[in-house]
Formats: sequence, structure tokens, C-alpha cells
Amino acid sequence: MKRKYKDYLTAYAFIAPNIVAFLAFILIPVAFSLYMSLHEWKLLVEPDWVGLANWIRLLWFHVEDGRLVANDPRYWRYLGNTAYLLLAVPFTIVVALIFALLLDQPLKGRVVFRTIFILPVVSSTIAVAVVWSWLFNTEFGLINMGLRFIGIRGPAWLGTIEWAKPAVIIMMIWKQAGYNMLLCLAGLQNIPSQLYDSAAIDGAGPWSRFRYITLPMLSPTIFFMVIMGIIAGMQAFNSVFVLTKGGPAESTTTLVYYLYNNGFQWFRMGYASAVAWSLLIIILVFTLIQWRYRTKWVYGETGKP
Amino acid sequence: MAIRKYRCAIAVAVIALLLAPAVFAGGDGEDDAAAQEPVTLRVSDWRGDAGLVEYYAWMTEFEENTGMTIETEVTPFAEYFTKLQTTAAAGIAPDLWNMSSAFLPQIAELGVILDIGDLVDQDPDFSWDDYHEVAVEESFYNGVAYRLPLGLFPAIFYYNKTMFDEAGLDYPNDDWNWDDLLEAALALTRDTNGDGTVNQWGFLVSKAMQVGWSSFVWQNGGEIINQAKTAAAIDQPASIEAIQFLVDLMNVHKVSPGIEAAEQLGDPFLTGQVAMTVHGVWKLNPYSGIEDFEWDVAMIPMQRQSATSSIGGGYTIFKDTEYVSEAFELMKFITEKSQSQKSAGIPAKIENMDLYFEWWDNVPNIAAIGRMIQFGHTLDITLGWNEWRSAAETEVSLALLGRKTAAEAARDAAKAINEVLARQ
Repeated sequence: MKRKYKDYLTAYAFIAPNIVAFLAFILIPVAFSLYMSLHEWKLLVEPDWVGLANWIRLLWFHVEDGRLVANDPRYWRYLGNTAYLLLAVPFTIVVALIFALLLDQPLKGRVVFRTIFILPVVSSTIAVAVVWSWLFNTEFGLINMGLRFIGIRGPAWLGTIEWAKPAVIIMMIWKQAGYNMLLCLAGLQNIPSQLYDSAAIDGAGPWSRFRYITLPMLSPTIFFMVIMGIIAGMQAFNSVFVLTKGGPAESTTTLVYYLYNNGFQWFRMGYASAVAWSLLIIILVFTLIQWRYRTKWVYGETGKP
Repeated sequence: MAIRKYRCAIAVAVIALLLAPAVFAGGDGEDDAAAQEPVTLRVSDWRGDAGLVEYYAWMTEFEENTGMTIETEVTPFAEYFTKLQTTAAAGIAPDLWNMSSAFLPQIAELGVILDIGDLVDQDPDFSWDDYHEVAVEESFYNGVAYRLPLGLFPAIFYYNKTMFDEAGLDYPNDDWNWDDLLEAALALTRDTNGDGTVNQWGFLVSKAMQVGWSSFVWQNGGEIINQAKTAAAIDQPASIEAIQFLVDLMNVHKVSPGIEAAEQLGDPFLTGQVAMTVHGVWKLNPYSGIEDFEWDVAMIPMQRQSATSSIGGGYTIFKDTEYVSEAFELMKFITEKSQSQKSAGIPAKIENMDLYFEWWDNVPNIAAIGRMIQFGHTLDITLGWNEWRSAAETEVSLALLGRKTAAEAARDAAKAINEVLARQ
């Protein structure tokens, strides 16, 4: 064989397993899912071609009593719920950053603290949600007991529409902050100390150093955390499923929960596929917007791919 | 090297070795269609080994009695019905299927299960009259018989005797109506540890349709969905009244913990937070382990009439099975055996009610369940049941949370239910 041809063949042979797996387990199923969204598939019968009917029902509107009404009001409500839960992302980053700054100092026992903060991340979401559902218990939960101790009457966290989403957000922050903290720590340690030294010599105080050195140098890390946080947040399901079962009165039902219900509880696989693809498109749009504007605020990004 | 020279031959030999099993393994089955081959029945179930202990003993007995061979195939519930459908479409489904009430309409609509009406009529030993009416009702779909009744799981009224004693109240009896329930609930809602907040509640109000409010709707003479199962009936005045009663219990009289209490992990009745609750008979098992207080059962407090929700299990036969009468024999056998197996569910056979009282003689008033089952009402399972049930439950939650009146919630629930039914 010609040497070059053989080299190419070897290279393709090495990446072949990965490509096969990607095709078989990701690309083809996702494409199939899009194809399925054009069908009505009750799982127990053959799929029925319905064209764009699922998509029209999902995204479009009609006129009722002279007013414009969504074809599927629940979809928009759940989209709103999911967007609300995205509030966890900035809070997680802030909390992670604070802890990272604290643990970057040469304190005694900081390795112990780092371990403790990473434990929630590696714990099973289901187990975490079970524990938090007890913490949030209106009468006996530790949170309300603590609030009672300082004289505040805690709300029915998982029992009222107003407080259920904040409760889920609190749990999500607790669960994820450790991982983001690790990322920030790594990012902090990559900041050359000469920058701080020269800034100190020039008379910059701690706040200025933070604002003009730490934050910009950390911006790639923050960018990463924001993108990954939004992608994961839009897919929130595990925590909601155990903590609130989407309730009370569907106030914590997310898009993925709606997808699950449609596909596995109500046997509308075609519609569930449409929900899934709409989620993909939304996340894609979010990510592309962030990518487009990254040069404006992320250090080191020059807009060249 | 020698290998390089003969590599073609080696490759052919290796491939031949790999393909040999496939060549020789196929085609075995075709030769065995002789009449001498013993009958093999295949049964499918979703219960794991733990739930099938007695069942396997029955199967051994059946094999010894009849000389047939029984193969039980267990598939986890999540894939159970998909697997049934795919094997049915390919014509290779098992002969007998464990069939839950929630899926009977869909599977029946597919046309893959056998109408056993004639088999039952021609059988001298079997009579529908031996079984509770509500169990018989669940064996049919659209007027066609598909299952034989196994056991029944109605909802029943549980109350905490110790709390009643402490409050000096009389225990619930068969004549209790909603006013009695309200009166007792008010007296039993207290702050027992003096910290300023109520921590003992009178009655647990739940948003769940099956064990929460369906019984109340039916007791008031209302329905959730009409007799023909074609349209919602939850917006009838009688139904709205029933829901309003429960909403008032929660928001006006405040005798129930919040809406999340019924959903949380940890049963509020079990942990001694509520004095009275309506729940399924399957709670008899966990409640029998209670040591902190005395408890008992009673008929659910009635209104215009008595009613309770009821659901039961059963098996169905694959339409294209080779062994129709054999499968029916097995079905009858399993059904008969289930009537005497200890379970939280009532045996579907009326005469076995005494057995049930024996199994649960730790519950003083267990006979109340026997009286309650006569007023059993099926859950009106239709295509799309799961979807319209959760839509109705969401509306009822909104009423319980005080966001809508019961009338508004009922109207919106009716709209949602009709929408789901129209889409089936």
C-alpha cells in the first residue's frame, strides 16, 4: 500500500469506534427523533404520519372568543418555569466564585473544605432530592425549624406555588456550586501573580484588583460555566421529578418533564419528540447568541475560531 | 512467516468458525411440531421474583396436574407493554399476559387480546355471579370480556383511635356523613406541643383523584366522566359540590395539612400527623407495622350514597395463541389460586371475604371493608386516562391552593378532560 493511504487508513481506524458510537447513539437517534416528531406514535401501534400537526400544536396559536390563545398553553407555561429555574445559574456562579476566592488562600484545612464542597456534585441527584424534600418540610423541616428559631414563620416550601421554584433553585445551587468552585479555583490559579504584584505596587486596593484583574482573567471560566449551566438548567428533570413531581399545580414542571409525561405516561411519542427538538433549538439559539458575543467580554477570545 | 503466506486461508477458516453456530442453531424449531410435543404455555408478567413466589409454586402444581410446561417471562414494567405490542405484531407473543387495568383499553383497541366471553359462558364451573360486581365490571372493556377478576383494591377510611380517645370523641361508624367528618376533623385539629402552630390535623385532603377526591364526587351523586366514557362530567353541580367540600376542609375549616403533605415521602397518617385519611387498602401492610398509636378502618363517610374507588388486576389471553383452551385453563387456575392468597386486596370472589377478614384480623373493624366494596366504583379507565387524570388533578390542586373556586377548577378540568378524550 502507498504509505500515505495507509496512514490515513490507520487514522480513520482509530477514530472509527468513536464515530460509530456517535452515529449509532447520538446522531441517528436524534435525527430519528426529528422524523418522529412528524408522526403520532402511541408506542403500542405503528407511527402515523401527521406532518407538521405536532409542531403547530406545540408552537402556534388560534383565536378563541376573539382572543389569541396558544394551542398548547402548558408548553409556554413550562418554558417559563424552565427559564425561571435558570436563575440558579448566576447564583451558582456567584456562590462558587466566593468559595473559590476563600479557598484559594493558604488556609489550614482548605483541602477538607474543598472535598466537602465537591460532595454534593458527586452525590446522586435522587438521594439529594429526597433529603432536601425533608429539609423543606413545612412542619418538621430543618429549614423552617431554623427560621422559627429566629422568629420567622417559614413558608410551605414545596406546598405553595410561589415558593416551590425558589426551593428547587436552592437545591440546584447547593448541588452544583462545588463543581463550579473547582473550575474557578483552577482559573484563579492560572492568573499570574505578577499581575497582582504590579497592581499592588501601583496602589490598587483589593476591590480594584478583583474587578480589573481577577474577573477579566476568570472570564473564560465564567463563560464556560454560563454556557454549561444554561444547557444543564434547561434540561432540569431529576431534581424536579423527586422534589415536587412537577407540582404544586404544575408550577415546577419543566420542559423535559413535559417531554417525559408525553412520551412515557401519555403515549404521545411524536409530540414528545417535537418538545425535545424545540428544546434543542432553544438551547442552540442561547448558545449561539453567547458565542456570538463572547468577544465583547471574554478575555482571550479574538473572534477567530 | 507461515502466517503471512496462508493468511487468506486462515481468514476463511476463522469466518467459517464464527458463522457455524448460526448455521447449525437455526431451523431446530420447525421439526418439533409433532403432536407428541407437550403443550408449553408462555406467561408474561412484570413482577419480579419477590412478587412471584407463590405464583411459581402454583405453576409447579399446574404443571404436575396437567402435564403442560409453563414458561414465565418477566419484563420490567417500563418495557412491558412495548414488548407485548412488538411480539404481538410479530405473532410470537406469550399466550397469557398479566394485564393492568390502566392499559386494558389500549391493548384491547389494538385487537391483540382474546374475547373470553364465549369461553366463560361455556364453562360450567365459572360464573360471573360469584364475583363482586365492580370486579366483573373491570374485566370488560366496551362490553367485551377480556380478563377474569383477581383481587380488588378499594379505597377505605383510616382513623387514629388514640387521637379520638384523647379528644373524647366517638369512633366513626357506618352512618357517618360529611357533617360528622367535618365535626370530628375540627375537634381533632390541634396544637399538641404548644408551640403556636397546628401540628395535628383532622383529615388529610389530597389532590390525587384515585384515593383523594373521586370517592367524594361519587358519594354526592356526581361523576368525573360520564357513563359512556365519552365526555367529562366533573362540571356537574353534584361533582362541584363534592370538590367544594374538600376545598373548604382545607381552606375554610383548615383541618388538613398543606397540599404537599399527601405527596411527600412519608405518609402523614403513618407518622401520626393526621387523625383521619382516605387511602387504598394497600396501606394495610405498612400501617400494620404502626406501634405508636392505635388505628382502625371504617366506611368512608357518605353523603347521598356510599361510594369508593376500586381497581383490580387480571390476565388476558393473546388473540393468536395456539392453545386457547389451555390458556383459559391456566387463567382460571391462577384466578382461583389468587382468591386464597393473602393480600391487601380483597379476593374478587364474594365467598372468600371471610378469608380476607382472617388475614387482617389485626384490624378490629376489618368487616367495614366488606361492607364498603359493595359500593365500589371503577376508575372509568379510558384511552388517555393517565393524561386526563393528571389534568384534573392539576385543576383540583389549584382549587385546593385557593387560586380558583371549585366551580372554576371543575369547569377547566372538564375542558381539559374533553380535550384529551377528543384526541384519542
